[in-house]
Amino acid sequence: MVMTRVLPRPRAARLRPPRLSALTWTGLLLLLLFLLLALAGPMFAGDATSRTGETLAGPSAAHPFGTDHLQRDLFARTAEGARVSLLVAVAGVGFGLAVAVPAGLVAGYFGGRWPDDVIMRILEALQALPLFVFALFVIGITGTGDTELGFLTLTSTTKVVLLLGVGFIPYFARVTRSATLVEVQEDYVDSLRVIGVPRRRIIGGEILPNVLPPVLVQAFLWIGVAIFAESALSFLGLGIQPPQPSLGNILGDATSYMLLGAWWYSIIPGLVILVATIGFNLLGDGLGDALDADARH
Amino acid sequence: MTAISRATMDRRRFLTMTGVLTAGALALTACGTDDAPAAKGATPEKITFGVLSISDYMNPLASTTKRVHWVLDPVVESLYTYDAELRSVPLLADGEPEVSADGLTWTIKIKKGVTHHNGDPLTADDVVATIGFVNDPKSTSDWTSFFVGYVKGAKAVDAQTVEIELTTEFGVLRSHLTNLPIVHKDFVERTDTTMGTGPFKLEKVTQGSEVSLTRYDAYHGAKPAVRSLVFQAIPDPATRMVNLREGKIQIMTDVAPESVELLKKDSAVQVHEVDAPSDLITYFVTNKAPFDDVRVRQALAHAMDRKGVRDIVFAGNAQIAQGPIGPSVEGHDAALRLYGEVPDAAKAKALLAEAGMPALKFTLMVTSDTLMKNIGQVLAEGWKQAGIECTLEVLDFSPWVKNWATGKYEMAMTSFESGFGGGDTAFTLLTTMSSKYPLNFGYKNEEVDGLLAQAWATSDDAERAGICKKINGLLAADAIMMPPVHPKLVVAQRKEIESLDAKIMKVSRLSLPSARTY
Repeated sequence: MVMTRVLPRPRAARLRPPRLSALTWTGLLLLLLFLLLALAGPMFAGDATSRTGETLAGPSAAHPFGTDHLQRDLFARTAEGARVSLLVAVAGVGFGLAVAVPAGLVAGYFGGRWPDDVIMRILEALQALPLFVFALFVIGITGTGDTELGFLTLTSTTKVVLLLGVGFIPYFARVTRSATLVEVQEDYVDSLRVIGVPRRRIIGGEILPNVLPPVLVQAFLWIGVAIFAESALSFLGLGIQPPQPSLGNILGDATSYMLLGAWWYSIIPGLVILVATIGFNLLGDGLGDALDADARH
Repeated sequence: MTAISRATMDRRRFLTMTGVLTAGALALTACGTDDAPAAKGATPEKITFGVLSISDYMNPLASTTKRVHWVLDPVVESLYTYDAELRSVPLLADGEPEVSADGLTWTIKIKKGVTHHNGDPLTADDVVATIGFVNDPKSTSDWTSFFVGYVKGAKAVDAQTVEIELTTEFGVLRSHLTNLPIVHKDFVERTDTTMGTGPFKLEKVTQGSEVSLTRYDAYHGAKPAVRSLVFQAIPDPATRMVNLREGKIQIMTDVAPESVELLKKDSAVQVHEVDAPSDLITYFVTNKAPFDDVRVRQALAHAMDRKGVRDIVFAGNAQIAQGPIGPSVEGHDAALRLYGEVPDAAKAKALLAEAGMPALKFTLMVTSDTLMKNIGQVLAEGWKQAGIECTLEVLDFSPWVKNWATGKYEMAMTSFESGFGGGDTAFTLLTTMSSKYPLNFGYKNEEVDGLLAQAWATSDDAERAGICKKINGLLAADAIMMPPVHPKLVVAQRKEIESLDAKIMKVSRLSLPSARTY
């Protein structure tokens, strides 16, 4: 502990206030709109399952997003659906990070040696399965309802979180490994080894903080992907189950009513998915650029 | 660095373009379609049905579902059929059956000169093989519940005579023999194809997707004018509706309730709304809490939002239900009034308090089709008014059946066209309420057991209807089977083809009058 303090500070990436492009500001704006809907919307909207007495009513002052086929307020359902989709996406990415970052750190630290080979071969095998094929396979076996694993009951929401997380692990682990491979070449790591700092502390205490920024930017980008993936799974009836709304299952229900002229039912949740996906991508992309510029500087 | 910068720009352009294209696509999808003009002309050579789904198994003896029978009904025939007034009349049988004095032996003569589509003559061996298959529990056929335990066996007395031996008097057998298809003896176990004596033969099967039938020119009855029938699986109701309006299909089944009014406005389309055995079947596991207490079930029945289901889910195209038997099935009691149309929260709460269960929570297992999901959500919302918390468990059909068959549920609900097996009798519905039924899960009412035995024994249709009416009342009072509504069978067709026979739809069949023999 004391010895590490006298060493020169490792080159920790510092996040300075970034200079953002117009596209990044656009992304930030879109993201704020989505977060406003997802986090503040449910507080102002009523119960997402209560009936309004109006079937497929268009947008109005009373129901700004209209009503659905079961007479429910679509603003309340879209806001609740956005919240659910966001939580599922964040939890899925979080689960992916929790597994991928340690795996990537270990693989990178032992780059070229057997732990690296074992971890990377497993991850490559996982990556070979496209997310939707993997999800269809798992849901096909376990069904869309709750699944009991011994004393543990996995709800449909938990299963979506786990599926997304498992699907993201290879991508996060590869980014972590790449960043770690760069870090282990640095002098400070050799110095730490020479003075006998335990390997666990080198990886967890010194390398991890330096590899986190690019990994977190990548994770941020993948939240958008996760919202899209969750929506797609729920649209197909494989994700969040009714009456709990998600952006995907609202859109899935809406398809039957397009021909009846209920445009708002499809367009509005579709736009929310679009805003969230583009927002996360533009902002994540901008942050990545800012981080690259910072690193070059 | 330049490469990085170019890659970044490409990604940005991609994102921008994706946004613009997606917004454009969403706007375009909002545009409606114009009505297709109705084509006028003679009876077409080919009629195409757009159906929700087609079974992978082309064996009418394996199941009693519409996924099989709407497709194979023109291919296979029964010993008896329905006439224009839905009375059972001989078809493959040569006259009425001879029933022994004790009622335990039925002797049936088979019509001569009838051939299967491969040219083989129809014989008593085909009938014996068919009954043998559906009377064998190992066949796991839906039909086994109609025969096993009641039928001892069938034997060929000669090439054209069959003798069916029964374990008990079983008058309802006439209805079963009016619905059970007779299949060539070499095909009873086949699932990839079938062989019958009907006016159409199987031409091509694209598993689960499309089935083509062509006219059988050596058919023993009147030959239909149409040369070919095609059944296309079109799972999305909106796509089915567009195909009908554009004339790509001529008949559309499983019309979504919300589309009925739109289709009625189309001058080229005729909509049939028929009271048929389109059952919403509910089950409880009554050998464990909370549904072992009749007061809890009655509380659910009082708090059931029947009006919500009728008006919101079926757009008014259904009848409020009191008991399990619907208006098209014998034993329906139009005068029965036990429960309200809207939830009676006060009564439900009082019953729950009396049962010592003020806070009822349970799981309703429904199948994953849109209809059942909608019904489940409306019911859950209605029960919420009485403080009853219902969690929906939405399952695909196979896991639903697996859980149902093993009793892994509290309350379960699905929809079923029961006319294929039971015709206009209540056999399909009520037989599960016998305490001897293996999938009953705890319901035992000795009066119901006794009445069921009487109902299936009698050969008098009026007597059976009266008994079934009593059973309906008992089951409704016990709140053991509580469909919220009795939906209608809704089928749409193009007007340029002959109108479907609305009468035969009352027993779930779809048929063009010119293609029927009776």
